[in-house]
Amino acid sequence: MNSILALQSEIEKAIEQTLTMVSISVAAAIIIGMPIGILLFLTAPGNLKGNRPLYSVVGYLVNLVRSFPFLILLVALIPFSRMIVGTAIGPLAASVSLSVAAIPFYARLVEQSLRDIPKGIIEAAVASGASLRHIVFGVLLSEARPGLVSGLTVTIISFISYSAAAGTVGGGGIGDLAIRYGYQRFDTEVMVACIVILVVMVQLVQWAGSFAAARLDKRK
Amino acid sequence: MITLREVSKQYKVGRDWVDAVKPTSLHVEKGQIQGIIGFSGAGKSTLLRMANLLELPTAGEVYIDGQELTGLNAGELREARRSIGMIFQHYNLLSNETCAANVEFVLKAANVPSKQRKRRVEECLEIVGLADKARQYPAQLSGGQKQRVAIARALANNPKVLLCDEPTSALDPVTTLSILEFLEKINREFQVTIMLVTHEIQVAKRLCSQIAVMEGGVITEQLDRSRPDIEPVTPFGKFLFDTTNSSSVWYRRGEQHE
Repeated sequence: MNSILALQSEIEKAIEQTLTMVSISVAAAIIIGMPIGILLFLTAPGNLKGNRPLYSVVGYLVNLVRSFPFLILLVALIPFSRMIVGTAIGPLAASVSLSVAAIPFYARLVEQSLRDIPKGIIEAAVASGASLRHIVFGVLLSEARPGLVSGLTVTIISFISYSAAAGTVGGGGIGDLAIRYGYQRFDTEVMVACIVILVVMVQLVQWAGSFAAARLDKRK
Repeated sequence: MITLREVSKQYKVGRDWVDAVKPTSLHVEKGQIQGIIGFSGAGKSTLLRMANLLELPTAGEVYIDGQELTGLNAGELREARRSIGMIFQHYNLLSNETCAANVEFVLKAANVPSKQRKRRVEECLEIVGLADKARQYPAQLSGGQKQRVAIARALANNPKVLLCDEPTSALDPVTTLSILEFLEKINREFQVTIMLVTHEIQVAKRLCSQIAVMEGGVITEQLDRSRPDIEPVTPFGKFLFDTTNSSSVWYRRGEQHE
Protein backbone atom coordinates (compact mmCIF):
# COMPACT_ATOMS: atom_id res chain seq x y z
CA MET A 1 0.00 0.00 0.00
CA ASN A 2 2.87 2.34 0.80
CA SER A 3 4.21 2.64 -2.67
CA ILE A 4 0.73 3.39 -4.03
CA LEU A 5 0.17 6.16 -1.47
CA ALA A 6 3.55 7.61 -2.25
CA LEU A 7 2.68 7.66 -5.90
CA GLN A 8 -0.80 9.04 -5.50
CA SER A 9 -0.14 12.23 -7.41
CA GLU A 10 1.60 10.30 -10.19
CA ILE A 11 -1.34 7.92 -10.45
CA GLU A 12 -3.73 10.83 -10.70
CA LYS A 13 -1.61 12.41 -13.39
CA ALA A 14 -1.44 9.10 -15.25
CA ILE A 15 -5.23 8.71 -15.17
CA GLU A 16 -5.60 12.22 -16.49
CA GLN A 17 -3.14 11.48 -19.30
CA THR A 18 -4.93 8.29 -20.26
CA LEU A 19 -8.24 10.13 -20.32
CA THR A 20 -6.68 12.84 -22.51
CA MET A 21 -5.37 10.29 -25.01
CA VAL A 22 -8.62 8.34 -25.12
CA SER A 23 -10.79 11.48 -25.41
CA ILE A 24 -8.77 12.96 -28.23
CA SER A 25 -8.60 9.75 -30.24
CA VAL A 26 -12.28 8.95 -29.71
CA ALA A 27 -13.23 12.51 -30.68
CA ALA A 28 -11.20 12.08 -33.88
CA ALA A 29 -12.98 8.77 -34.48
CA ILE A 30 -16.37 10.46 -34.23
CA ILE A 31 -15.54 13.65 -36.11
CA ILE A 32 -13.54 12.06 -38.93
CA GLY A 33 -14.16 8.31 -38.69
CA MET A 34 -17.95 8.51 -38.74
CA PRO A 35 -18.16 10.55 -41.96
CA ILE A 36 -15.68 8.15 -43.57
CA GLY A 37 -17.88 5.23 -42.48
CA ILE A 38 -20.93 6.93 -43.98
CA LEU A 39 -18.97 7.60 -47.17
CA LEU A 40 -17.96 3.93 -47.37
CA PHE A 41 -21.57 2.85 -46.93
CA LEU A 42 -23.00 5.27 -49.49
CA THR A 43 -20.38 4.58 -52.16
CA ALA A 44 -20.47 0.79 -51.83
CA PRO A 45 -21.53 -0.68 -55.20
CA GLY A 46 -25.30 -0.96 -55.36
CA ASN A 47 -25.90 1.59 -52.63
CA LEU A 48 -27.30 5.13 -52.86
CA LYS A 49 -24.19 6.78 -54.28
CA GLY A 50 -22.53 3.61 -55.55
CA ASN A 51 -19.08 4.54 -56.81
CA ARG A 52 -16.70 1.63 -57.08
CA PRO A 53 -13.43 3.59 -57.61
CA LEU A 54 -14.03 5.92 -54.66
CA TYR A 55 -15.20 3.03 -52.46
CA SER A 56 -12.11 1.01 -53.35
CA VAL A 57 -9.67 3.85 -52.70
CA VAL A 58 -11.18 4.82 -49.34
CA GLY A 59 -11.57 1.16 -48.35
CA TYR A 60 -7.96 0.51 -49.28
CA LEU A 61 -6.69 3.42 -47.15
CA VAL A 62 -8.79 2.27 -44.21
CA ASN A 63 -7.41 -1.26 -44.50
CA LEU A 64 -3.88 0.03 -44.89
CA VAL A 65 -3.91 1.90 -41.59
CA ARG A 66 -5.77 -0.91 -39.84
CA SER A 67 -3.23 -3.52 -40.90
CA PHE A 68 -0.39 -1.81 -39.03
CA PRO A 69 0.34 -3.40 -35.66
CA PHE A 70 -0.34 -0.48 -33.34
CA LEU A 71 3.14 -0.25 -31.86
CA ILE A 72 4.66 -0.01 -35.34
CA LEU A 73 2.16 2.65 -36.38
CA LEU A 74 3.10 4.55 -33.26
CA VAL A 75 6.77 4.56 -34.18
CA ALA A 76 6.14 5.21 -37.85
CA LEU A 77 4.11 8.29 -37.02
CA ILE A 78 6.69 9.92 -34.75
CA PRO A 79 7.72 12.48 -37.42
CA PHE A 80 4.07 13.20 -38.13
CA SER A 81 3.32 13.75 -34.43
CA ARG A 82 6.29 16.07 -34.18
CA MET A 83 4.96 18.04 -37.13
CA ILE A 84 1.45 18.35 -35.67
CA VAL A 85 2.10 18.99 -31.96
CA GLY A 86 5.79 19.92 -32.04
CA THR A 87 6.98 16.96 -29.98
CA ALA A 88 7.11 13.19 -30.17
CA ILE A 89 6.79 12.67 -26.42
CA GLY A 90 3.82 12.96 -24.07
CA PRO A 91 0.09 12.31 -24.23
CA LEU A 92 -0.56 14.87 -26.97
CA ALA A 93 1.98 13.30 -29.30
CA ALA A 94 0.62 9.84 -28.56
CA SER A 95 -2.88 11.16 -29.26
CA VAL A 96 -1.88 11.87 -32.84
CA SER A 97 -1.05 8.25 -33.60
CA LEU A 98 -3.96 7.01 -31.50
CA SER A 99 -6.27 9.23 -33.57
CA VAL A 100 -4.81 7.96 -36.82
CA ALA A 101 -5.57 4.41 -35.66
CA ALA A 102 -9.01 5.24 -34.21
CA ILE A 103 -10.39 6.91 -37.34
CA PRO A 104 -10.38 3.85 -39.66
CA PHE A 105 -11.25 1.58 -36.72
CA TYR A 106 -14.51 3.39 -36.05
CA ALA A 107 -15.15 4.06 -39.76
CA ARG A 108 -15.47 0.31 -40.40
CA LEU A 109 -17.75 -0.15 -37.39
CA VAL A 110 -19.95 2.70 -38.64
CA GLU A 111 -20.07 1.19 -42.12
CA GLN A 112 -21.05 -2.16 -40.65
CA SER A 113 -23.88 -0.79 -38.52
CA LEU A 114 -25.25 1.12 -41.53
CA ARG A 115 -25.24 -2.10 -43.55
CA ASP A 116 -27.51 -3.67 -40.94
CA ILE A 117 -30.31 -1.21 -41.73
CA PRO A 118 -33.03 -2.98 -43.74
CA LYS A 119 -32.82 -1.81 -47.36
CA GLY A 120 -36.56 -1.20 -47.52
CA ILE A 121 -36.41 1.57 -44.94
CA ILE A 122 -33.89 3.49 -47.02
CA GLU A 123 -35.93 2.78 -50.12
CA ALA A 124 -39.07 4.22 -48.52
CA ALA A 125 -37.15 7.44 -47.86
CA VAL A 126 -35.90 7.55 -51.46
CA ALA A 127 -39.47 7.01 -52.70
CA SER A 128 -40.65 9.95 -50.59
CA GLY A 129 -38.28 12.29 -52.44
CA ALA A 130 -35.93 12.86 -49.50
CA SER A 131 -32.55 14.40 -50.28
CA LEU A 132 -29.28 12.69 -49.41
CA ARG A 133 -28.89 14.96 -46.38
CA HIS A 134 -32.30 13.92 -45.02
CA ILE A 135 -31.57 10.27 -45.68
CA VAL A 136 -28.21 10.42 -43.90
CA PHE A 137 -29.41 12.34 -40.86
CA GLY A 138 -33.04 11.23 -40.72
CA VAL A 139 -32.71 7.58 -41.71
CA LEU A 140 -29.15 6.23 -41.58
CA LEU A 141 -27.97 7.86 -38.36
CA SER A 142 -31.34 7.33 -36.70
CA GLU A 143 -31.78 3.67 -37.62
CA ALA A 144 -28.16 2.79 -36.86
CA ARG A 145 -28.09 4.65 -33.54
CA PRO A 146 -27.79 1.59 -31.28
CA GLY A 147 -25.08 0.11 -33.51
CA LEU A 148 -23.19 3.40 -33.65
CA VAL A 149 -23.18 3.60 -29.85
CA SER A 150 -22.09 -0.04 -29.46
CA GLY A 151 -19.33 0.59 -31.99
CA LEU A 152 -18.25 3.64 -30.06
CA THR A 153 -18.11 1.57 -26.87
CA VAL A 154 -15.86 -0.97 -28.57
CA THR A 155 -13.69 1.86 -29.88
CA ILE A 156 -13.30 3.53 -26.48
CA ILE A 157 -12.37 0.24 -24.82
CA SER A 158 -9.88 -0.66 -27.54
CA PHE A 159 -8.27 2.73 -27.28
CA ILE A 160 -7.98 2.58 -23.51
CA SER A 161 -5.82 -0.45 -24.11
CA TYR A 162 -4.01 1.11 -27.10
CA SER A 163 -3.26 4.18 -24.99
CA ALA A 164 -1.53 1.92 -22.47
CA ALA A 165 0.68 0.68 -25.30
CA ALA A 166 1.33 4.26 -26.35
CA GLY A 167 2.63 4.88 -22.86
CA THR A 168 5.61 2.66 -23.51
CA VAL A 169 7.02 5.04 -26.13
CA GLY A 170 6.73 8.09 -23.93
CA GLY A 171 3.03 8.80 -24.16
CA GLY A 172 2.49 8.81 -20.43
CA GLY A 173 -0.69 7.50 -18.86
CA ILE A 174 -1.54 4.39 -16.87
CA GLY A 175 0.37 2.09 -19.21
CA ASP A 176 3.52 4.16 -18.82
CA LEU A 177 3.20 4.05 -15.04
CA ALA A 178 2.72 0.29 -15.07
CA ILE A 179 5.83 -0.17 -17.20
CA ARG A 180 8.07 2.22 -15.25
CA TYR A 181 7.15 1.11 -11.74
CA GLY A 182 5.47 -2.24 -12.12
CA TYR A 183 7.75 -3.75 -14.73
CA GLN A 184 11.09 -1.95 -14.59
CA ARG A 185 11.16 -1.63 -10.78
CA PHE A 186 9.35 -4.87 -9.97
CA ASP A 187 6.78 -2.96 -7.95
CA THR A 188 3.86 -5.39 -8.02
CA GLU A 189 1.58 -3.12 -6.04
CA VAL A 190 1.75 -0.38 -8.65
CA MET A 191 1.24 -2.92 -11.42
CA VAL A 192 -1.87 -4.26 -9.69
CA ALA A 193 -3.16 -0.74 -9.08
CA CYS A 194 -2.74 0.12 -12.76
CA ILE A 195 -4.56 -3.00 -13.85
CA VAL A 196 -7.40 -2.33 -11.42
CA ILE A 197 -7.75 1.21 -12.73
CA LEU A 198 -7.88 -0.04 -16.33
CA VAL A 199 -10.40 -2.76 -15.45
CA VAL A 200 -12.64 -0.24 -13.71
CA MET A 201 -12.43 2.14 -16.66
CA VAL A 202 -13.33 -0.57 -19.15
CA GLN A 203 -16.19 -1.85 -17.01
CA LEU A 204 -17.63 1.64 -16.60
CA VAL A 205 -17.43 2.35 -20.33
CA GLN A 206 -19.00 -0.98 -21.23
CA TRP A 207 -21.79 -0.54 -18.73
CA ALA A 208 -22.57 2.98 -19.89
CA GLY A 209 -22.33 1.97 -23.55
CA SER A 210 -24.64 -1.02 -23.20
CA PHE A 211 -27.11 1.04 -21.23
CA ALA A 212 -27.16 3.84 -23.83
CA ALA A 213 -27.46 1.42 -26.76
CA ALA A 214 -30.40 -0.36 -25.14
CA ARG A 215 -32.13 2.93 -24.40
CA LEU A 216 -31.72 4.10 -27.99
CA ASP A 217 -32.95 0.86 -29.52
CA LYS A 218 -36.71 1.01 -30.12
CA ARG A 219 -36.85 -2.12 -32.25
CA LYS A 220 -37.67 -4.25 -29.21
CA MET B 1 -52.58 10.03 -64.30
CA ILE B 2 -50.06 7.19 -64.60
CA THR B 3 -48.70 6.17 -67.96
CA LEU B 4 -46.06 3.54 -68.49
CA ARG B 5 -45.09 3.47 -72.15
CA GLU B 6 -43.26 0.45 -73.47
CA VAL B 7 -41.28 0.12 -70.23
CA SER B 8 -39.00 -2.85 -69.80
CA LYS B 9 -36.51 -3.98 -67.20
CA GLN B 10 -33.58 -6.31 -67.64
CA TYR B 11 -31.30 -7.55 -64.89
CA LYS B 12 -27.88 -8.99 -65.26
CA VAL B 13 -27.68 -12.33 -63.51
CA GLY B 14 -24.15 -13.63 -63.73
CA ARG B 15 -23.34 -13.26 -67.42
CA ASP B 16 -26.92 -13.42 -68.68
CA TRP B 17 -29.56 -10.75 -69.02
CA VAL B 18 -32.94 -11.65 -67.60
CA ASP B 19 -36.16 -9.89 -68.57
CA ALA B 20 -38.06 -8.96 -65.40
CA VAL B 21 -40.49 -6.89 -67.43
CA LYS B 22 -40.75 -7.12 -71.21
CA PRO B 23 -41.86 -4.00 -73.07
CA THR B 24 -45.22 -3.21 -71.47
CA SER B 25 -47.62 -0.28 -71.47
CA LEU B 26 -50.21 0.66 -68.91
CA HIS B 27 -52.37 3.71 -68.51
CA VAL B 28 -54.28 4.55 -65.33
CA GLU B 29 -56.90 7.32 -65.38
CA LYS B 30 -57.20 9.81 -62.55
CA GLY B 31 -59.15 8.48 -59.59
CA GLN B 32 -58.94 4.83 -60.63
CA ILE B 33 -57.63 1.92 -58.60
CA GLN B 34 -55.47 -0.18 -60.85
CA GLY B 35 -54.60 -3.64 -59.61
CA ILE B 36 -51.76 -5.74 -60.94
CA ILE B 37 -52.08 -9.40 -60.18
CA GLY B 38 -49.93 -12.39 -60.95
CA PHE B 39 -47.76 -15.05 -59.42
CA SER B 40 -44.41 -14.40 -57.78
CA GLY B 41 -41.79 -13.52 -60.35
CA ALA B 42 -44.32 -12.26 -62.90
CA GLY B 43 -42.67 -8.82 -62.78
CA LYS B 44 -45.55 -7.00 -61.11
CA SER B 45 -43.52 -5.40 -58.32
CA THR B 46 -40.86 -4.35 -60.80
CA LEU B 47 -43.54 -2.75 -62.98
CA LEU B 48 -44.97 -0.87 -59.99
CA ARG B 49 -41.55 0.27 -58.84
CA MET B 50 -40.89 1.72 -62.27
CA ALA B 51 -43.82 4.11 -61.75
CA ASN B 52 -41.71 6.21 -59.34
CA LEU B 53 -38.39 5.13 -60.81
CA LEU B 54 -37.31 3.19 -57.70
CA GLU B 55 -36.56 0.77 -60.49
CA LEU B 56 -35.05 2.54 -63.48
CA PRO B 57 -36.58 1.14 -66.69
CA THR B 58 -34.06 -0.29 -69.15
CA ALA B 59 -36.19 1.31 -71.87
CA GLY B 60 -39.49 3.16 -72.14
CA GLU B 61 -41.05 6.23 -70.56
CA VAL B 62 -42.95 6.90 -67.36
CA TYR B 63 -45.43 9.76 -67.04
CA ILE B 64 -47.14 10.88 -63.83
CA ASP B 65 -49.81 13.56 -64.22
CA GLY B 66 -48.43 14.52 -67.61
CA GLN B 67 -44.85 14.90 -66.40
CA GLU B 68 -42.26 12.58 -67.86
CA LEU B 69 -40.32 11.21 -64.87
CA THR B 70 -37.81 9.45 -67.09
CA GLY B 71 -36.72 12.86 -68.44
CA LEU B 72 -36.05 14.54 -65.08
CA ASN B 73 -32.75 15.26 -63.35
CA ALA B 74 -32.12 14.04 -59.79
CA GLY B 75 -33.48 17.16 -58.07
CA GLU B 76 -36.60 17.31 -60.23
CA LEU B 77 -37.23 13.62 -59.64
CA ARG B 78 -37.08 14.12 -55.85
CA GLU B 79 -39.58 16.94 -56.24
CA ALA B 80 -41.88 14.76 -58.36
CA ARG B 81 -41.67 11.84 -55.95
CA ARG B 82 -43.16 13.99 -53.20
CA SER B 83 -46.50 13.76 -54.96
CA ILE B 84 -46.23 9.99 -55.33
CA GLY B 85 -46.90 8.13 -52.08
CA MET B 86 -45.81 4.54 -51.62
CA ILE B 87 -46.54 1.75 -49.16
CA PHE B 88 -44.82 -1.60 -48.85
CA GLN B 89 -45.46 -5.15 -47.72
CA HIS B 90 -43.15 -4.80 -44.74
CA TYR B 91 -44.20 -1.22 -43.94
CA ASN B 92 -40.59 0.09 -43.94
CA LEU B 93 -41.15 2.44 -41.04
CA LEU B 94 -38.23 4.02 -39.18
CA SER B 95 -37.97 1.70 -36.19
CA ASN B 96 -36.18 4.12 -33.87
CA GLU B 97 -38.67 6.94 -34.45
CA THR B 98 -42.19 7.43 -33.18
CA CYS B 99 -45.20 7.16 -35.48
CA ALA B 100 -45.47 10.94 -35.54
CA ALA B 101 -41.77 11.28 -36.44
CA ASN B 102 -42.22 8.73 -39.23
CA VAL B 103 -44.93 10.84 -40.81
CA GLU B 104 -43.00 14.03 -40.14
CA PHE B 105 -39.93 12.69 -41.93
CA VAL B 106 -41.50 12.97 -45.38
CA LEU B 107 -42.73 16.48 -44.57
CA LYS B 108 -39.22 17.50 -43.53
CA ALA B 109 -37.94 15.94 -46.74
CA ALA B 110 -40.34 18.23 -48.61
CA ASN B 111 -39.10 21.25 -46.59
CA VAL B 112 -42.49 21.93 -45.00
CA PRO B 113 -42.11 24.52 -42.20
CA SER B 114 -42.16 23.15 -38.66
CA LYS B 115 -45.55 24.52 -37.56
CA GLN B 116 -47.38 23.16 -40.58
CA ARG B 117 -45.60 19.84 -40.15
CA LYS B 118 -47.02 19.28 -36.68
CA ARG B 119 -50.54 20.04 -37.87
CA ARG B 120 -50.24 17.82 -40.93
CA VAL B 121 -48.85 14.91 -38.87
CA GLU B 122 -51.90 15.10 -36.61
CA GLU B 123 -54.27 15.26 -39.58
CA CYS B 124 -52.70 12.26 -41.28
CA LEU B 125 -52.68 10.09 -38.17
CA GLU B 126 -56.29 11.15 -37.63
CA ILE B 127 -57.23 9.97 -41.13
CA VAL B 128 -55.93 6.47 -40.40
CA GLY B 129 -57.42 6.48 -36.89
CA LEU B 130 -54.13 6.38 -35.01
CA ALA B 131 -53.94 9.83 -33.45
CA ASP B 132 -53.57 8.19 -30.04
CA LYS B 133 -50.48 6.24 -31.17
CA ALA B 134 -48.51 9.32 -32.25
CA ARG B 135 -45.86 8.96 -29.56
CA GLN B 136 -45.50 5.18 -29.80
CA TYR B 137 -42.81 3.33 -31.70
CA PRO B 138 -43.63 0.98 -34.61
CA ALA B 139 -42.56 -2.09 -32.58
CA GLN B 140 -45.39 -1.36 -30.16
CA LEU B 141 -48.03 -1.60 -32.91
CA SER B 142 -49.76 -4.49 -34.68
CA GLY B 143 -49.09 -5.19 -38.36
CA GLY B 144 -52.29 -3.49 -39.45
CA GLN B 145 -51.52 -0.43 -37.36
CA LYS B 146 -48.01 -0.23 -38.82
CA GLN B 147 -49.45 -0.30 -42.32
CA ARG B 148 -51.86 2.47 -41.35
CA VAL B 149 -48.92 4.59 -40.12
CA ALA B 150 -47.25 3.87 -43.46
CA ILE B 151 -50.43 5.04 -45.23
CA ALA B 152 -50.44 8.21 -43.10
CA ARG B 153 -46.82 8.79 -44.10
CA ALA B 154 -47.60 8.21 -47.77
CA LEU B 155 -50.46 10.73 -47.59
CA ALA B 156 -48.57 13.47 -45.77
CA ASN B 157 -47.48 15.39 -48.85
CA ASN B 158 -50.95 15.20 -50.47
CA PRO B 159 -49.92 12.82 -53.23
CA LYS B 160 -51.77 12.49 -56.51
CA VAL B 161 -50.76 8.88 -56.78
CA LEU B 162 -50.37 6.09 -54.24
CA LEU B 163 -48.30 3.04 -55.13
CA CYS B 164 -48.99 -0.08 -53.05
CA ASP B 165 -46.54 -2.97 -53.19
CA GLU B 166 -48.30 -6.03 -51.71
CA PRO B 167 -49.67 -3.90 -48.85
CA THR B 168 -51.76 -6.66 -47.28
CA SER B 169 -49.61 -9.72 -47.94
CA ALA B 170 -48.25 -9.83 -44.39
CA LEU B 171 -51.66 -9.31 -42.78
CA ASP B 172 -54.51 -11.57 -41.69
CA PRO B 173 -57.81 -11.48 -43.64
CA VAL B 174 -59.65 -9.21 -41.20
CA THR B 175 -56.82 -6.67 -41.04
CA THR B 176 -56.48 -6.91 -44.81
CA LEU B 177 -60.09 -5.83 -45.14
CA SER B 178 -59.59 -2.83 -42.87
CA ILE B 179 -56.53 -1.71 -44.84
CA LEU B 180 -58.49 -2.06 -48.09
CA GLU B 181 -61.23 0.10 -46.60
CA PHE B 182 -58.68 2.80 -45.78
CA LEU B 183 -57.30 2.67 -49.31
CA GLU B 184 -60.83 2.92 -50.71
CA LYS B 185 -61.55 5.89 -48.47
CA ILE B 186 -58.35 7.65 -49.52
CA ASN B 187 -59.16 7.06 -53.17
CA ARG B 188 -62.71 8.38 -52.74
CA GLU B 189 -62.12 11.32 -50.40
CA PHE B 190 -58.81 12.63 -51.69
CA GLN B 191 -59.09 11.52 -55.34
CA VAL B 192 -55.79 9.70 -55.06
CA THR B 193 -55.10 7.42 -58.01
CA ILE B 194 -53.93 4.04 -56.73
CA MET B 195 -51.78 1.40 -58.34
CA LEU B 196 -51.65 -1.79 -56.30
CA VAL B 197 -49.71 -5.00 -56.71
CA THR B 198 -51.02 -8.15 -55.10
CA HIS B 199 -51.03 -11.88 -55.54
CA GLU B 200 -54.33 -12.18 -53.65
CA ILE B 201 -57.22 -12.27 -56.09
CA GLN B 202 -59.72 -11.40 -53.35
CA VAL B 203 -57.83 -8.19 -52.62
CA ALA B 204 -57.82 -7.19 -56.28
CA LYS B 205 -61.50 -8.00 -56.74
CA ARG B 206 -62.53 -6.15 -53.60
CA LEU B 207 -60.64 -2.95 -54.30
CA CYS B 208 -59.70 -2.42 -57.91
CA SER B 209 -61.57 -0.69 -60.69
CA GLN B 210 -59.17 -2.24 -63.20
CA ILE B 211 -57.09 -5.35 -62.89
CA ALA B 212 -54.09 -6.08 -65.07
CA VAL B 213 -53.03 -9.71 -65.18
CA MET B 214 -49.29 -10.19 -65.44
CA GLU B 215 -47.49 -13.29 -66.52
CA GLY B 216 -43.91 -13.78 -67.60
CA GLY B 217 -43.01 -10.08 -67.47
CA VAL B 218 -45.93 -8.79 -69.57
CA ILE B 219 -49.52 -7.71 -68.99
CA THR B 220 -51.54 -10.44 -70.65
CA GLU B 221 -54.92 -8.81 -70.15
CA GLN B 222 -56.65 -5.87 -68.54
CA LEU B 223 -60.05 -6.40 -66.89
CA ASP B 224 -62.47 -3.63 -65.96
CA ARG B 225 -65.02 -3.74 -63.17
CA SER B 226 -67.39 -1.47 -65.09
CA ARG B 227 -67.37 -3.92 -68.01
CA PRO B 228 -68.35 -7.27 -66.46
CA ASP B 229 -69.36 -8.47 -69.90
CA ILE B 230 -65.70 -8.70 -70.86
CA GLU B 231 -64.63 -12.08 -69.60
CA PRO B 232 -61.03 -13.09 -69.04
CA VAL B 233 -59.69 -14.72 -72.18
CA THR B 234 -56.22 -15.93 -71.32
CA PRO B 235 -56.09 -19.28 -69.52
CA PHE B 236 -54.31 -17.61 -66.63
CA GLY B 237 -56.91 -14.85 -66.36
CA LYS B 238 -59.70 -17.41 -66.48
CA PHE B 239 -58.47 -19.58 -63.70
CA LEU B 240 -57.57 -16.57 -61.57
CA PHE B 241 -61.12 -15.35 -61.80
CA ASP B 242 -63.39 -18.34 -61.92
CA THR B 243 -62.11 -20.30 -58.99
CA THR B 244 -63.38 -19.90 -55.49
CA ASN B 245 -60.75 -21.90 -53.75
CA SER B 246 -57.12 -21.26 -54.11
CA SER B 247 -56.00 -24.89 -53.97
CA SER B 248 -57.94 -25.59 -57.15
CA VAL B 249 -56.05 -22.75 -58.78
CA TRP B 250 -52.82 -24.48 -58.12
CA TYR B 251 -54.27 -27.82 -59.13
CA ARG B 252 -55.40 -26.52 -62.50
CA ARG B 253 -52.17 -24.68 -62.96
CA GLY B 254 -50.37 -27.98 -62.50
CA GLU B 255 -52.61 -29.70 -65.03
CA GLN B 256 -52.00 -27.07 -67.66
CA HIS B 257 -48.33 -27.69 -67.61
CA GLU B 258 -48.66 -31.43 -68.04
